[in-house]
Amino acid sequence: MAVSASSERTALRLNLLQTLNESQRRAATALEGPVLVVAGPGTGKTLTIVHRIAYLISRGVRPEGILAVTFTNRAAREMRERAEALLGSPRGMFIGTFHSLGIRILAGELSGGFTVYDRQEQVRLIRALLKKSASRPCAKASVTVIAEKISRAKNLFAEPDEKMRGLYEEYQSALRKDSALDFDDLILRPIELLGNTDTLKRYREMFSHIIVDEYQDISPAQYRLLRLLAGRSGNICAVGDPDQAIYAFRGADVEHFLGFERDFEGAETVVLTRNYRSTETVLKASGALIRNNTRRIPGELRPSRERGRPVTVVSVPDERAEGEVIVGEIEKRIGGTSHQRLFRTGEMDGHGGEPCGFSDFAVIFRTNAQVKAMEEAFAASGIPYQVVGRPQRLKRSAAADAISCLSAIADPADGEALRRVASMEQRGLSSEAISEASARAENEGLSLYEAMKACAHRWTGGDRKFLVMMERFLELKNRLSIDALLDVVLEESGLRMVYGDGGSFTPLENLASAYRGLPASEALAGFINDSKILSPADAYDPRVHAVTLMTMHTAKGLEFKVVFIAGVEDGLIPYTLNKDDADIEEERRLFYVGMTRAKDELFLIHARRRFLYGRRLPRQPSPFLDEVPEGLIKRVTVPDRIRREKRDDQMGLF
Amino acid sequence: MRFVADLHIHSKYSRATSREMSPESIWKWAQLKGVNVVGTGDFTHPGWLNELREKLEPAGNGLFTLKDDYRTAEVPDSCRAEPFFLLSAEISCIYSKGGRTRKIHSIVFVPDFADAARLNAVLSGIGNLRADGRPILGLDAKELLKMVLDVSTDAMLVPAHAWTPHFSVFGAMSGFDSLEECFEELTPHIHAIETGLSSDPQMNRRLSRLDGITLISNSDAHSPAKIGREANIFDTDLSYGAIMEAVRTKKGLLGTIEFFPEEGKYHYDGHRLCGVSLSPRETIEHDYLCPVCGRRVTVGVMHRVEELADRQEGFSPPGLPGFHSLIPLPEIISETLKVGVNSKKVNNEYLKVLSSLGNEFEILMETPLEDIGRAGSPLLMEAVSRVRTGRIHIAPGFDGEYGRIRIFEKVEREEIKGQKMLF
Ligand SMILES: [Zn+2]
Ligand SMILES: [Zn+2]
Repeated sequence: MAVSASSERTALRLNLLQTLNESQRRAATALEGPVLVVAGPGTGKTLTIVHRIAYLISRGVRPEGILAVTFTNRAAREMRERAEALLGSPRGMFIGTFHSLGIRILAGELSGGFTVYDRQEQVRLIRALLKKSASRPCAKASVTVIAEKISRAKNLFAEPDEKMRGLYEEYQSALRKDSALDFDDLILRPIELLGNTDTLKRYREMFSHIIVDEYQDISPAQYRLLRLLAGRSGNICAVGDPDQAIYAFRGADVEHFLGFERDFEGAETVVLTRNYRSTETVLKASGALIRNNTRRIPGELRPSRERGRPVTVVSVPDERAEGEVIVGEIEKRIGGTSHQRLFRTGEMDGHGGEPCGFSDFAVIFRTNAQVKAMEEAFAASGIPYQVVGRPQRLKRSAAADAISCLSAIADPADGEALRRVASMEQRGLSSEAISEASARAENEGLSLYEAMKACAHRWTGGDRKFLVMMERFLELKNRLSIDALLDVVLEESGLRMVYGDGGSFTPLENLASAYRGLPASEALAGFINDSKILSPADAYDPRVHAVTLMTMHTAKGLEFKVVFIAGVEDGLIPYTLNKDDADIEEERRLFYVGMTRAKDELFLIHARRRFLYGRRLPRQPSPFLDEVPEGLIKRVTVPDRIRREKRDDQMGLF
Repeated sequence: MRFVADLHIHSKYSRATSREMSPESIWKWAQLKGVNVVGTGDFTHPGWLNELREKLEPAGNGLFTLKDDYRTAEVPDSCRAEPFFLLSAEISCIYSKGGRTRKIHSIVFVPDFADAARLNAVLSGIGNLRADGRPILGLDAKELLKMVLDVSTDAMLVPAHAWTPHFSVFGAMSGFDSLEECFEELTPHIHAIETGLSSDPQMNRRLSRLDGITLISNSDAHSPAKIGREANIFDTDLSYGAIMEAVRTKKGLLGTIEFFPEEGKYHYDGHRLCGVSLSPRETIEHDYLCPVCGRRVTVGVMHRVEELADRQEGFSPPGLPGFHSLIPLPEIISETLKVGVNSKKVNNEYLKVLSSLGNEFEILMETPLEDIGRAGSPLLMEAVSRVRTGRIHIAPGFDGEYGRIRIFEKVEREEIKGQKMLF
């Protein structure tokens, strides 16, 4: 006899909640009405959310009615995988970022189709507009800064300032002309569309239960979208931690979190207080710091781990020594990376602690200006490292090339994409062939692809092959699913050969697997739009063990056995250099985010001199260090001169 | 044809390696030593790969020769030969698996520059290839193997110095108990292991599960004079393909040239900082702790072999390649002259003997003893004779300290010298 759906659900329900602690269970099972879940670092937030999703389904809620919004694609993927693992099979919940939610709504409502402009395309457009218009609105500001201002205005749901007005209008109408949307429009346009009562009704019915992660970081625009979807007393569960609100500079406002109970009638608040991540010492140290903030929900995390080692505060002469200290500590914990290093550290039997791989370490800093010195230390040591979230690094990257390929396949008339594909090093067109086809397209009013086909009868060798390849891709588009098509394209375009299998395409492939089975002919445009909102933080290669170097902003949501915070100096933490309106509470939250990434060990390092922004300056320790109780700290000072090590003894003739 | 190959060395781009490790001096020293095929080492390093591209030319057999422009006249006529280069590299994988830190060195061979460049392209996405001729990658050794196999069907990966405690596949500190634990379903692609200085084939053969594995030996030289201190003797066509086929099948591998394993840095157990050397039995008696400082001792190769062995000492399965245990000639000369191995005096004597007798391997293995007596000294003749028959004393190496060789007792030396007076 078949097990009935409802008894299956009961069984699921009973098993489900056993792994949760009491407050997690409350957060997972409070299904009706608005719920605010205050989830500090390491309190099992994702665990709680996926259980809530599973519990909703076990109570008979349609999976399609569940909308879970996350801050990054990576978080969305993790949440989906864990929820499906819990449920035992894939279900139809919508789990994605605000941007992908926007794309989803727009795809359903805009009949004419649309293109998403990523940051680069946005900047290119603004640059073109600036060239055309005679008057530059703000002479000094760079194009990137203008783009940021436009974005911030949109996020704040506000009018752009007076000087920007003209450019802003031009920018918007240029977007409209191309039926293009920038990232921020992915929120704003859906808000407009939901202004229609019928549309709004439809979506409110569609999404019966909403879960929002990282609620402390939502912007006014995102807030408006959520309010529309949830209604004033709807089933919305907001999860987050006001102590980790760090995106004010982008227009986020922690007040949304603090005001949740006021905003949503009958809201219940559940506080997750048990921390499973860090040692008691790390928790006490970070807790003592964050208590100095006023805009927060009072409370303290309870440790579930042992006391652990003290927080090590290291004073070093300069940024070079800072890098060397970090490298040295990592080598000690790895047990040496070469025979020479073994002898130097004298650490023959490891560190006595748990064994580590390189991915157990992170170096966290406040500003990207600190990356370079740190990279030098790692480059010199040979220890593998990765800089996560490095800005503007995707210029001609693997993923960008792959997306161009797909764009050209999705729409061969997309001349810009086709040109980029044709100019790829491997298996592209010769430059003569490109200019020939471009000229012909210009003269005869053809699309670039049509022009290529018209020229092709005279082409030979690689040029001919290129066209054959494109024709094959266009044909395969009608037969393959997205993931299969992506695979063929990466292989046959030579991209995989050029960039290797070193994980360059992992984010794209992950995204494609979320489209599993969907025919490329239907979903390709959507996939390309989605791929443009992949953030640098999605570019992890899980096979690679490397020390992670990143800013505090990028570090959020991650955890490491050993964390080094570099540049714990006044001016950097809090960041007041080149900035007179620093928000001290936000800066303290950033430092708090950095500290609470540590599971076992935390190092806070400050240099006595540092080369920064072109100048060598004497530095003072961060005032935040004074907020950490002395009893939790072990202080180490590296003297000014460092002994040079000897070279190995195999250097002689014999 | 019969030839000697040393497939694992390092270039000047590796850490703690002599500036002298250039294509030119590798070419020269290969001839002095009697090595016919020498690994280039370090092809993962972009600077070294460029230099190799510039100075070597393909010989058409997957091997390379030094271009004429770079050849020097420094090689004595007696040693002149045409050494071939084979593209090789060593990669250090450091990662955690099964809850332990693993540090595994692997040697990789490829037949041409294009394959080397392709592998480099893949690896450069994973780690920093410029920092060290032997790059550190935070990559599972099995993943590395997969990448190597993907690059070319001709490429081969061999676990390096398979027993050293800190950086090898069977290493006591951060290795595995079996090849399968490390390489899982890809284990069938591991055809050979490098025995390393501290172990010889006889020790390896105590593990029946290594019966199907070819044992190769290489110098891992960091300076030119160390080239060939361990090597392989092949009898095949002189080509990349034939060498790799012999490594795969043992057919055509006549045998290996070995250090006396006791001379290797990790033969015994012990604690270098305290000067404590222990036999495996003593280590167990001391509960793996240094009797001086109480810290854990470094468990050496002999101990580790004992731990994993399933056969008694002295077992040697029939039909496998044999080996010669040798002591490098400069060390022998150093002993006869009673001066340091790096001294000018040893160097002069070394070159003198080579000039009249031929390359080092010939002298150590083939030259009639009387000829050695004539060209060198009776003491040298006696020393080589003892090395050839294994009649020597070695204080075993431990915890990174090379073993100390003594060919003669003090009294003996005087006696042999005395005999000389009588002639
Ligand atoms: Zn090695
Ligand atoms: Zn000791």
